[in-house]
Amino acid sequence: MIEVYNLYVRKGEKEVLNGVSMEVDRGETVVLIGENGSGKTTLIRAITGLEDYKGEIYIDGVEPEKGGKEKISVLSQDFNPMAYLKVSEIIGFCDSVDEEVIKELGLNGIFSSRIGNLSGGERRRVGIGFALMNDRPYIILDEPTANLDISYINRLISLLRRKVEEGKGLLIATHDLIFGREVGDRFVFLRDGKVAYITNEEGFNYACTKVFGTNMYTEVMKRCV
Amino acid sequence: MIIILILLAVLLFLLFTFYGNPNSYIVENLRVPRNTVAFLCGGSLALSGAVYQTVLKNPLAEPYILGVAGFILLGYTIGKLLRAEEIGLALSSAFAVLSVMYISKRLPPKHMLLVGVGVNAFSVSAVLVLYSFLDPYSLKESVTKTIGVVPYVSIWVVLIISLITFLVFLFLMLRSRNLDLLSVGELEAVSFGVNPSRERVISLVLTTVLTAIFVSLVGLVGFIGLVVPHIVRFIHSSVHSKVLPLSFLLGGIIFMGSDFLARMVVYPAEIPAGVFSSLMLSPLFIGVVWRLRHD
Repeated sequence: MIEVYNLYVRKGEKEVLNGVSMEVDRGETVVLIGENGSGKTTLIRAITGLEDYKGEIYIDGVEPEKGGKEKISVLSQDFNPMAYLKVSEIIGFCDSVDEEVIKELGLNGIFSSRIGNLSGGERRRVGIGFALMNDRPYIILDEPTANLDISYINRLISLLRRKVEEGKGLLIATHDLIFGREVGDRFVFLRDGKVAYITNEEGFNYACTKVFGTNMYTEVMKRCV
Repeated sequence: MIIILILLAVLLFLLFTFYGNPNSYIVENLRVPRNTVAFLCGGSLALSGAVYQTVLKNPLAEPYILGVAGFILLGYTIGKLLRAEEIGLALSSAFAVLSVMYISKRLPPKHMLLVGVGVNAFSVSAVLVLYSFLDPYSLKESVTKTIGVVPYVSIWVVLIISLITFLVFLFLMLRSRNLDLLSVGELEAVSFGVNPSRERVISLVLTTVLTAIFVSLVGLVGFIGLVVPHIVRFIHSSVHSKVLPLSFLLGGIIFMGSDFLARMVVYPAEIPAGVFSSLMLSPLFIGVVWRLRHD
């Protein structure tokens, strides 16, 4: 289990995370939702040990710096490897190669391309593939749907469901409400570095309305019309 | 590819060493040491460039462009002003570590390059001034130091720098997987147990101190560090267990060749070897920058 208790992260004058507590268990998907600057990425960086923090973080009972971070596979928000790297080389750095992930994410067609020649969405798919193919008990994805088109979002959702069935714990940060609602078992809403709500599906719309001033269905309706 | 390059290196080494009048005294005491220094110098610069580009995530990074080499030369010259080669070496290493403290803070790439331009301009001017204090008639030496000229050194010096270079190279090769993961991304590398900032500082210190040795010995040699790793990554592979040795070999061959030309073109006089490497590589440098213009 990833456990975060009373987490404070300060950057310069600003308190980016202000007493955040939450947890992610194996076999569930927790979705981290919040506006830009609400502290989603900082929380993820703290869990992976890249941010100095006050408070407690344990991954299966071990602090990130003492080896807990090695139980997590991560996709960063700005996944951008060196331009000359080939997709095949990046896949080669993974622990294992999962043919289904490669097929579902459509990586076969770009296997021998260099990162510098890929589009934003293609690069994103490579990053997701890299995170999913490393065999760790927890997977953290920061904005996985950025630049992805709808067909790949759907395939991503089914891949993520399969990972949860395999018993992995997923933490996904997104501001895509529709995607978040579909993959999440529990939802953590962040506002100004604090946890505003932790809820399951039933409270999702209420929390959305409180945090964003609009809810998912209103947004869907607006886009349809 | 590695085997071909090694063969080529050996062949060129023999050619450049034994070309002309074979005379065992000259070969053993002058040509072998000089060619070895040239080879190690080019190789080390290319190795440093490859590591800089990866850990700083900046395709245009290398000791020369970032002003690190110029700064080190300044340290060396100050030491030399105090009339001692040893102080020069110590000061250049100290300046190397100072530069690492600055570059590992990772300014935005453009700022870092522009600061490098400033530091280079300042250092080169200061070096020329300091040399004229040293001895007004040593201006030629100072100018050649800012372009890079391979000196004749004793076989012992050659052995020591070969050993240091080999150890640094070996260390980096053992950690090449960490460099691979860093080239994918910092967060991604963390889950493999890599500590990005420690990895960055260790590899920068090692390559920069290596650079300091060759800057003190040879002077400022530009573009090898930048262009050679690009050539290797473009033609062959971006995996560091291949990038590092191939860059080393190719850089070494290029600089050994430049030194050969430097000795031969206006024989019996001599041109600084850095002139030829820059002449060959700066067009390629422009090519690399042109390719990266959309990033």
